[in-house]
Amino acid sequence: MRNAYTRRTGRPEEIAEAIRWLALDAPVVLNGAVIDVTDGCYLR
Amino acid sequence: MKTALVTGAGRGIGLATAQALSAAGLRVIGLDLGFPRGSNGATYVLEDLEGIPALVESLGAIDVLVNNAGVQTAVSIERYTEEARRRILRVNLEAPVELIRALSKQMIERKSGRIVNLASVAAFTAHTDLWYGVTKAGVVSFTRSFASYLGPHGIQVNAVAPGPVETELLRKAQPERISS
Repeated sequence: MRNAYTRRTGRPEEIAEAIRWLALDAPVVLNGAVIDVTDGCYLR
Repeated sequence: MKTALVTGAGRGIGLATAQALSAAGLRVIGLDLGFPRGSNGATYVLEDLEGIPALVESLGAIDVLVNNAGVQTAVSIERYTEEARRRILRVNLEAPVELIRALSKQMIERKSGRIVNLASVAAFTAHTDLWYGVTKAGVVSFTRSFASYLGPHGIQVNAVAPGPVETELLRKAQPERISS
């Protein structure tokens, strides 16, 4: 993963944390959003 | 107690999500083709689109839906079989739409509900598996459409777009992309 900032592949639990936040804690005005959890892997 | 339905909960991101929601105090119903010994969940083949309304009916009240299940073959478009194309369109694109359609009815009645869909970086970039990228771009599209349809009813519909994650899907399809 030379393009990722951490230089490694993501871990399932790291993606799950973003999902958990959207499912439980994200503010009600957050709707129709697509949140990148890509570690910057396609930004350069 | 709130209840979450997580598709593809037997492995990878789905399993980690089921564990995270369970740790947060939710009752989690996991769906998958099968589950490793010692773990719990309901077996369902999401290619069976026609069965989805009855499936949802049988599960009772669901507060959170995580549309995680997905497949990838990562063969070039020249080698893609009709069967593989039909499968990926059903599992990655049509099944989550049908799940939202079926589940949103009860969420509209309660005026609340949260839906999280799994898109991918493949929605925004070129991808070895053409149809995988197409289905994930479709997830972005239906996330925005359902947010506009269901938002006024108190339902939130969002997506996450992961990059490469160490899962069985990536190991089988593109092992060269795994590194630690």
